[in-house]
This record gives sequence, structure tokens and C-alpha cells, in this order.
Amino acid sequence: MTRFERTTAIVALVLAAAVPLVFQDYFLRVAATALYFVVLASSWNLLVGYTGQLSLAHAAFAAIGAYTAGLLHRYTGLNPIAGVLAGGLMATAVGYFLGRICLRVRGPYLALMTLGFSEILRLVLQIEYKFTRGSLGLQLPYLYGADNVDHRLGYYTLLGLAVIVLVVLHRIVNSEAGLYLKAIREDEDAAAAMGVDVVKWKVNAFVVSGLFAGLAGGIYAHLFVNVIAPQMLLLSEMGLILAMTIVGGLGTLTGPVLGAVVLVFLQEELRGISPHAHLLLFSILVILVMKFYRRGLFGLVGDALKKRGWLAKTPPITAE
Amino acid sequence: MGVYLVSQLLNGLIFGLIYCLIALGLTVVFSIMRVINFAHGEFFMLGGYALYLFTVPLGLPPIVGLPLSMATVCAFGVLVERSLLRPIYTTRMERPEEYAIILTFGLALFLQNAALWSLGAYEYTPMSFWEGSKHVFGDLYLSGDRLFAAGMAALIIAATLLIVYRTWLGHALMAASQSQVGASVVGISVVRMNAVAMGLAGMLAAAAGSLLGPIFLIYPDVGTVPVIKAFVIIVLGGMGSIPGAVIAAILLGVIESLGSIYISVAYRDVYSFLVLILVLVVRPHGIFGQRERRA
Amino acid sequence: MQRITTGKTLATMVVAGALAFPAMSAAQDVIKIGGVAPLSSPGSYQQGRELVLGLQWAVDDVNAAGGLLGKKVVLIIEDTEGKPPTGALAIEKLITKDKVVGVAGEYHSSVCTAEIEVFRQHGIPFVIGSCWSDTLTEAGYAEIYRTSVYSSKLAENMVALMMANGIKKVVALVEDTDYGIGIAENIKKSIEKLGAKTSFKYEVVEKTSKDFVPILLKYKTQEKPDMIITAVTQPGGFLVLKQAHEIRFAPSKNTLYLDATCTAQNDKVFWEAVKGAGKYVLMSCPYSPSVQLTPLGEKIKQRYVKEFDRQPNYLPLQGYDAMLALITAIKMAGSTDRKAIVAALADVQVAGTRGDIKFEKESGVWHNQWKDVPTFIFQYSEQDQSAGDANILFPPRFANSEIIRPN
Repeated sequence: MTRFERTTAIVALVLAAAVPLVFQDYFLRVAATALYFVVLASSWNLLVGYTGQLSLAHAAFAAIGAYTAGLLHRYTGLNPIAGVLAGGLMATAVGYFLGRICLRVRGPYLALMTLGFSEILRLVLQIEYKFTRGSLGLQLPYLYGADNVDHRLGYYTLLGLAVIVLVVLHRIVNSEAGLYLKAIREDEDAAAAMGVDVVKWKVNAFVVSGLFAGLAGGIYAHLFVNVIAPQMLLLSEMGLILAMTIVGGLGTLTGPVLGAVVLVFLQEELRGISPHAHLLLFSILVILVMKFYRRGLFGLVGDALKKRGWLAKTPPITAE
Repeated sequence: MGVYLVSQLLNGLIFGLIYCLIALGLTVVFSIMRVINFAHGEFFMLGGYALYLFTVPLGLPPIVGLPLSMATVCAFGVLVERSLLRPIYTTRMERPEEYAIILTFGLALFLQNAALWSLGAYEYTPMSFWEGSKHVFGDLYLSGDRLFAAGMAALIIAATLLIVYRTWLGHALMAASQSQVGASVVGISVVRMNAVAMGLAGMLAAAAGSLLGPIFLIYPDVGTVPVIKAFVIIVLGGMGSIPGAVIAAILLGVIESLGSIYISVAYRDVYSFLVLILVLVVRPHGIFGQRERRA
Repeated sequence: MQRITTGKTLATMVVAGALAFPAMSAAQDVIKIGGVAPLSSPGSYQQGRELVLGLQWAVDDVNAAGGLLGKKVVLIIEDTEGKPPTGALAIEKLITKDKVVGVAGEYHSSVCTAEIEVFRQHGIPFVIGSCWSDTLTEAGYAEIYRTSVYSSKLAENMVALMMANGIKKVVALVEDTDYGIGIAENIKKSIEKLGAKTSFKYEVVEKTSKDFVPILLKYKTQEKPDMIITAVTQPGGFLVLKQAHEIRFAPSKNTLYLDATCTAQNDKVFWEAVKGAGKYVLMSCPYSPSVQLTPLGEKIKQRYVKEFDRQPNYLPLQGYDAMLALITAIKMAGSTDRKAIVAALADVQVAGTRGDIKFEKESGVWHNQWKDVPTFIFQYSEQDQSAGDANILFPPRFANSEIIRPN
């Protein structure tokens, strides 16, 4: 990491930590939502941007985390914190399962497979309303107990999660494992020929990204969302995660962070116009980014910074 | 039980034919361009809105509105190919598959929300093709629109098959789907074939959207469910295989109706997805598809 | 190595933060009240629009009469889209960002169910506009009041009609929400309670389904009921009717069709969507444009007729009553303190659009509920008939016709 990178990271962390001291109730919630999407976008990026596995099941992992915890609490009275951890574990298991059945498929087939999986989950949650409450909505207890509702504490929890996730991702990406993942992304067959354990690393990517998404889904839902419904698995929710990662910059660590923060705040600004206006804008941005500047916002900013030597020059294999 | 079984199967068959129409376009695009167009459902949606436009404010009879709407979305399909998808073939792009998936996904989201924004969430009712409920046999009555949709879909599918197997254009398309290099060697413009494929896909999806419009009404995300069925069909039948698409479509219609009778009506949509995943796991190239050659 | 100007970096970070800087709040000399309703899909936005009319008119009227506690009332509307999580979020926004003193409205029971938890958490009063599920008042929350009709009352009326007309076999198709499932369970309970000799079965469908023909075919050929009741809100509800009619199942000589959601009363939208299928449809509703209930109700009806050139359905009136109750309570409390308003609501007695509104103190479904809210059952006798001209079948003191059937 260059000095610039380190300073920026620290400044960003300090600013993020200062948010609850400046903003109150409603905007704190928006900032917390941004952190939630930072985790979702970054974990999706690991799978798609670094390993090249274009999965459309990411919103499903978040839902698995939230629903596991919610249902456990409803039927066994399990403490929400334990529930959320169980949710993370469930998401990990599902990630492993999905990773393994997706081994043989690539590209559009993989996208379809994960799409099918996400839709099956959504439909089952909806149809089995007697068990899951379906469209009626499943009430969730507050993560720290109903008497301790404190949005600042919730914000810091999410901030903590985001920091942990980003640090872990940074470690993975800059290690040998990161090279394996990128090799798989660029050319799976060549990587296998060079001795990369493609099976192991593809599954690992699913597992890690699923774990983070599941934890984020569970934690966020128990802090800021009173009620969950199968609508959280709609493709438009997946579209949000996709848009944030793409617009921010696929295949980089900072890209999804930038994309998540910018787009969440944009969504809030646009809420006054209509509850759906943000999706229109985001979809246009995705098309523009893919067509004209595939490396996204961070690509734009990053190039300029790299020239000045402020940003570490990464090896030739980058998201182009 | 006899009449009940037959009526459910008939309903399933009707939908099978319509889904086939949607799936055909998708499979042709895949076979030639190796791209799954995630925005295909929105071609369906545009076809529905187009029919509404031609028959209600413009007051044309629906039978005229149908070819007009097909022509409109055909043009739109060509436009999409030219502006958004052409770079995949004409430039040296990194990870073109990723580009295609994300771009078409983004396009789908854009079209849905653009329709929502400009036309509202309201449901538009285009004019009926064949108003009223018609006697089929015994105690079974079905709406005229459903019967018309099935009949017209069958006609259009037959016409498409005719074009693909009996005309020069069809042969050129098939050549391009077998080998882009080989086709260009014998003088077929692959880029033009891509445009034709997208145009054809747009046309067929629009026909389906227009035919179903009077039955289920038109609204911005009307295309999302049918296109998923189309995905299942092309995977089941084998991506890129036209006969596969036809057979798989009928099969899916039947599976759905039988599932509704014997297992549960509520799970109807889940069956399609289960079939999708099962096929992808067990036999990814479907019934008639080619094993993917990874050269 | 170039000198890194942290100043520049800090500046860029601040810009991002500035994007979210909260707008300065408006002048303080207004009273803000919230209104919620479904205004977009998958909610029943056509009904939501009608409800919002009622909410807005009540606010307009109080402003025209000099305001509330000397201040102007500002109505802030949120679209809850028919989704419970969106509803809960909308209430949070109204309470924490807009700082409303109370809220009225909402149409979907499931969304109401999610919303009442937020009201209870913050202690802000909520007068339900048109969520019919019994559980909302049964929960016994102090902050929640209801001027709208409720499912068990409607169910009892439907069963009374069945008994009076010798209807022996009934099936119901209900949506997968608190309202849909709730009303089916209520009908079942009422049949037991009133000792009706009617067999009753129901099936739950996804609200956004499109093709109901498989289920309807099953009912037509296997069940052969005397009546089918549907509790599927727009737009699905209209499709059920269209498809039932197309397969010659209901409304027919053998099978009556009852719309338990009263969306059929929205006559313009109804006839446009269903055309001939709507003739002979029965509907269970909280209001009739043909029955003069109160002077205020008549005034609102005339206002609607003047503005839209057709008669209103029950929603603008139910919306008006909810907002009226809230506003009256604020007046009685003499302040915008949430606890005071909640307490004042308990003692509200005001002439509404459909009767004299007052809330019961019992526990159970009548907790904070306007017990005597009127209910009716109608039947359309002609295609394109206006809602006000439909035959009144129930209650007996207003009834002007027997059930009619096609031949």
C-alpha cells in the first residue's frame, strides 16, 4: 500500500466513525444502509470481479442470513445475535453447495443457474407462508434486544463488519490465493493447466462471498429492518448490488466501496422524485459504464492517481 | 376427471406454444451470437405496449397491430445489437461473456424502469383479438384470446421454422451458428447475421407479448416471468437448438399443468426453475444441444 | 515521491458526505401529519389513490376552517407499495425525518401489521384508513385506532346472506396476505358461530399471479360450489373474475361470485377491466353511494361527483373518516404531544362521513375500533352500472332486492 492509500483509508475510517456524531436518526440509517451495501458489493466483487464467476444469487445469500435468524427466533426463541451467526453459517453452507453444483457451468449458464436458485428460494419463501410468513412479512427482533434500540450502536456494528470484510478481502486479494482467483477469471483452462486447483478456489470464492453476504443480511435486517419479506430476493435487489459494483469499478477493492456509498446516497436524493427513479438512473449508469468505461468510477479516478504514483501500480492483470 | 385433465393439459399446451415463441428468439440469438440476452423479456413487454399503442390510441384492428408491433420491436432489436452488442465481435474485448451478461441485465433493468417512469405502473388493456368465451368441447369453455394466441403462435412458429430451414437467409443463419469463421469464409456477413438474429428475436418476443397482452394486460415487468420460462426451455431443449426449443416448450407446458393437478398449483413456477437447475447440473447441453466446444 | 496533500483528499471525502447533508427543515408553524397508502405496484395503487383523496380532503377542510390549533396542517404522503418492509420504512421516515405528529391511512393489512410495530415503538398515533384484518386491533396497542371496517364483521354479514339464501357450498380464493387469509378464517369462524349449514373451503394464491384458470377449472369441474368468494386485491382480483367468466364458471346460474374486497365498487376501473364479466357480481362493502348516511358523507360524495363525474367508492370516505378522527383528537388534546393525542383519541366522538365515530375500549377486535362502522352487500344487475345503482342485498333495513342470477 502506498502512503496515499494508507492515509485515505485512515481518513475514510475516521470520517465514517464520525458520522453518528454528526447525523441523527434518519440519515444515520441511510449511512448504515451504505455500509450494508459496501459489504454486499465487495463480497459480490470477490466472486465476480476477482474470480469471474458471474453469480446472480447474491441477494439470496443476504436473504438466507436474515431469514435463518428470523425463523430460528420465531420458532425456538433463539437470541438474535446467535441467530445471525447461524444465518452466516447457513449462507456459508449454501455457498458451498452452490459452488459445487456450479462447477461445471460457466458464463451465461452460471448466471442462469444462480438466477434459478435465487428465484426458487424466493418462490418457496413466498409459497410456504404458513412457515415463513411469506408476503405477510416476518417480524425481526432487534439485534441487541428490544429494549436497547440504538441506531448509533447499529451503525458501528455495521461499520465493524465492513472493516473486517474489507481487511479480509484485501488479504485474500493480495495473496497467492488472489492470484489463483484472478487466473481463473482470465482463463480457467489455462489456470488449471498451470496447476491451480480450480475446483477448490471456485468453491472457496462462493463460500467466502456467501458468508459475508449472509452475515451482512442478517445483521442489517436485525438492526434497521423491522420486517422482511420475500421481495428482498427480487431481481431488482440483485440489480442494485450489481449496479453498485459495476459503477464503482469491478475487480478492484475500492470500486465497490465507492459505488455503494455513492449510489446509496443518490438513491436517497432521488427518493423525493419517485421511489423507483434510482433504478432507472442506475441501470443507465451500468450500460454507460460497460459500454464506455468498463473500469467504473474508481477506474476513472484510479488512473489519474496511478499516474501520479499515489496508487500502487497493480500487476498487468486488471479489470479492463 | 377426464375433462379436468384434458382442460388442464390444453391450457398447458396453449402456454407451451406461447413460451415457445419467446424461447425461439432467445435460442436463435444464442446460437449465433453466443449471448444470452437478459433483456429478452423486455422485448416481450415492448411488444405488448406496442399492441396497446396501435389498437387503443391509434384505433387499428388488433390483427393489424400484431405485425406492426412485431416490426417495431424487430427494429429495436437491431438497434440494440448495433449499438450495444456489436463491440463484442468487432473489438478485442476482455471477458466478452461478462460484458454481454452485465450489459443485457442492465438493459433489462433500464427498459423496465423506463416503462415504469414514462407509462406508469398501470395495467394497459389492448383490444382483444377474439373477444368472448368460446366453446371448446363438452363443458369446457376458454377465452377467445387464449385460443387465438395459441393458434397464431403455432402459425408464427411454423413460419419461422420454414424460413430457417427452407430459405437462403435461414441457411445463412444456421451457417453462422455453426461456425462464425466458416460462414464468413463463404461470404456470409456475420455481423449482419447478428443483426438479423436480434431482429428476429425481437419480432418473435413481441408477437408473444402482443398475443398475451389482452389476456394478462401490460405493465412494466410483465416480461420477467415469461423470459424465465424461456430460459428454462432453451436450457432444456439445448441452447442453440431450434427443434429443441419447440419440444422443450411443449414439454414444459405439460409438466406445469400436470404438476398443478397432481402436486400443487402454487408451486407451478417453481417447477420450471427446478427443471432448469436439474438440467444444468445433469446435462448442461440439454436434449438437443451441442456439447460446448471450448477451442 | 510527490508530496501528498491530505488537504485535497479530505476535500474529496467531504464532498461525498455533503451529498447527504440533510435539507434544512421548513418553517416551524405548521403541523405535519403523515398519510400512507399503496401508490405503486405491487400495491393496489388504484385503491390507494382513492384513499389518499379522502386523507387530503380532510386536511384541506380543516385548513379551510382556520387550521389546527391555529396552525396550518401539512399532509406528507408516503407510498408503501403494498410491501410490509417498505411500509415499516415509510413510517420510520415519517416519524424520524419528517417529524409527523400522527399518521392515518394504509390499505393493505400485511403492511399495516408491519407498520403498527413501528408506531408502538415510537408511541406515535395511527388511525387505520382501510386495513381490514382483525389482528390489527386485536393486538391491543394503545397507539392504534381504526375507523375502517374489519374482517370479522364483513364475514358475519356474508354468512348471514348465505344462510338467508340457502347457499350450501362455498369456496374461496384468497391472497397470501393477512387480509386474505384473515377473511377466510373469519368466514370459517362465523359459519361455526352462526350455525350455518354451509361447507366452506379456501385456497391461497399469490397476489401477483396471473393465470387462475387451473384453479378455477378445478372448482368448476371438481367442486361445483354454489358461491365463490374472492379476496384478491387489484389487479389480480379482476383477472380472477375475467377468467372465471371466460370458462363459464361464475357468475353463472349455478355459481354466484362475491368480491370480498369491494374493489368492484371502483366502478370505472372495474368495468373497463372486466367488461361483461362484472354483471351479477356481488360485493361486500363498507359504504354505498346510494345510501345517505350523514350530511358530511353526502357533502363528500357530491364533491367527488363534481370533480370526477362519477360516484365514489368507499375509499375516499373511509380515508376521510380516519383523518378526521386523528385531527379531532389533536384538537381535543390541545397539543401535538404524542401521548396526549393517543389519550385523546380514546374519547373522540365526531360525526364522520358514514356515522358517528367513537372507539370502543374493550379488548379483542373491538379495541380502539369503531364498532358500528356500516357494512353492506351489493350486486350489480347491469353491465357498466354505476356503483350507486347496484342492488342492495344487505343489511335488511336497506335491502331493495333479492339475489339475481343469470339464466
